[in-house]
Amino acid sequence: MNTTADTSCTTADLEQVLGDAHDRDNPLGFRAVLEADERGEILPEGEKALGSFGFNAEFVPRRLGGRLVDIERLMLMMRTLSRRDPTLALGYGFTSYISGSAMWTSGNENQQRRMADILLGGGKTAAGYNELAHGNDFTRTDLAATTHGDRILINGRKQIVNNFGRADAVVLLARTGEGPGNRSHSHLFVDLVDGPADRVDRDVRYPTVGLRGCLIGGAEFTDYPVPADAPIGPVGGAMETVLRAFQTTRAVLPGMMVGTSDTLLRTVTRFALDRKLYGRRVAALPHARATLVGAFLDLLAGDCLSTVACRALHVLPGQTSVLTAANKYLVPKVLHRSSHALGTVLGANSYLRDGTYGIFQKFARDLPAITFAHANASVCQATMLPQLPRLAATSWLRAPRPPKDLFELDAPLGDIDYGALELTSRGADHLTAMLSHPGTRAQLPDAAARLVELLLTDLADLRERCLALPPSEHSVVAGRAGFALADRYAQLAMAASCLGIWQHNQHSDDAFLREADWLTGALHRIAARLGHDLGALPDSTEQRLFDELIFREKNHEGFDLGRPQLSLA
Amino acid sequence: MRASTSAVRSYRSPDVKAYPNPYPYPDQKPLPTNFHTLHISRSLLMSDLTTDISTDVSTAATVETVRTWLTERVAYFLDVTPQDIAHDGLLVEIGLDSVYALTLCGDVEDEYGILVEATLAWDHPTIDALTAHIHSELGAR
Repeated sequence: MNTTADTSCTTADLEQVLGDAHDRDNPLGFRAVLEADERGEILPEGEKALGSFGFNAEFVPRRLGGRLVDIERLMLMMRTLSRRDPTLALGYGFTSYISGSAMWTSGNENQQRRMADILLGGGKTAAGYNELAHGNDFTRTDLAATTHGDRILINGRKQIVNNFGRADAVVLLARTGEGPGNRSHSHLFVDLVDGPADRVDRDVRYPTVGLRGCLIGGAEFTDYPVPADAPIGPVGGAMETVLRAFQTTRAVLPGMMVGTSDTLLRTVTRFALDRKLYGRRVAALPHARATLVGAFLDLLAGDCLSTVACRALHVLPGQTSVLTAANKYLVPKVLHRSSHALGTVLGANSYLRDGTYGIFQKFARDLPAITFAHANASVCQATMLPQLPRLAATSWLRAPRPPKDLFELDAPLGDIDYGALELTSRGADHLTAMLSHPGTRAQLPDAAARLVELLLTDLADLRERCLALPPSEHSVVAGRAGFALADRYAQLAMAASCLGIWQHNQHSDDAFLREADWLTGALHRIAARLGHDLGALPDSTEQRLFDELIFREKNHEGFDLGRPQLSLA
Repeated sequence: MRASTSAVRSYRSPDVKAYPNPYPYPDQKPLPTNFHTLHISRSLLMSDLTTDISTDVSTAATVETVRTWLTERVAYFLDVTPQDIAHDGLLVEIGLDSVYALTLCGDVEDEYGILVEATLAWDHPTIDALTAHIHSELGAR
């Protein structure tokens, strides 16, 4: 197979394919997106366009003929799609990558090639994990695979699995041993095209509030036979695979949601510029301005953490078990809250299903649904929590700063190495050293330095609390206090990401990125979420951010760190 | 003395106000009202700290001391007395879930100064099995 795959397809190329979002005649524009949502369909023209673009290649590593290089690239591709239509992004779909990530982590060469062939041929693979009775508690999975002679028989059900009904193959999490332990489950690669169709019922679809067009299905297997070589990786090794592979999906999904938030913010910004109230434009009202600026800052801060999480998979692969969980926990939460605040500015238009601003309600429904698609917030908190005491003892206030490649947006990352990802961080956390290192703080303007000083006292406080945390508070059954620590850690990781992105992109040709207004604003909001009563942003900072927001809307630029040019008819 | 209230404007970002932190510390102290004009120390905070991580490795670990230490750790996790822990019982069956299992690996690394797989307790699922594995790792060093 071709080992020098063409990775020259860029997010700009993809944006070009998608065309002008606001062009009513664009079959991939918002009008068509809304109509497909009303029909409960994935935008058919969108699926065709992505097929022609060979979007599935983004899910397949280069060495297998695809275009998957680094995880940041995948995230930015998904973001570009989900700025246009989250349903298309997930429905086309991202779950092919979720199943792929397990395969690229633990599959043998032969299995990997089979899966790559399916995807590069335009097929779909499903990620068969969820069972409604157990949610994200994978160790309780019931669907069973038992060996009978030279084959394995599958019995049981999976529910809430995207694209199960039309998938060519599924990566199935199956019980292969008794009991609740972590050696009782295996991944199976199950061919759904050549297997006996009468042994599996895939004819189910779960209607949903958000991502309405997605084909969320399930399956019931009855003595479904698969060959003895179906297990991916060693039998009983599924939990290890999951703990590695899902670090990449936890990095990508929040970064993808930043694209969804971009459209939400853009819609409300357009409204604020168009609509007049009390004799002036909505954009001139202090409440509306503060809300818009706040959402812009949340988007940038969300981009900082999700970008750093993606880059860390390459730069600090031993430390991402905690960092990607922090990312998956916090970024969706911040963006979701932001969307509520934006809705208050839009007023009645925030729930009208058509018209100029109709896209808002769809994206506002889709945004939280993306989060539920994979690894929910409390699972992510419970992933961070048991590791925090060791992070506190080993790293906080004493670890070295991370390498600048973690933050430099133009530094190349190379191919993702799934095998380098570790199940735990072994106490290592270099990211938060951005807050404690005096060299970093010395470069900051006063307003930001003051906030960093404040956040550093928070980190010191968090350290004491984590060191004192009894083991009964380490697990998913921890009390509120335990979960509070995980929340606060994630906020501080976000602050450290913002700081690093600012400091290590001073060579950028984007003056806004080099200036400290966004950094001050982002840290200000993080500190406010940590309970500090800071009042409003300084007027001059708010004004600068608001001007930037309006400039980007008028010039059709994305609101995220990379400020990509958006298509215009 | 309180700073002039003009330093802090009364207007607050509405969305922050609408969604208060769900996890406030009950004992979190309010900021001084002159926060925005506070002097920035830019102190060398890191120099105040000492590295107190023990790199000392017990060289005299016997099977018995490893077993005793492990039993105490597991009992501490489960909030029971060491006498309640059967050395040949499956840890997962006495309540040591996957999260504790990962935490236990960290404790082993810190206590004995060796690197162990995070899956240690999955593959050596009893106190006795863990003891044998750790002891042989220590011997192999």
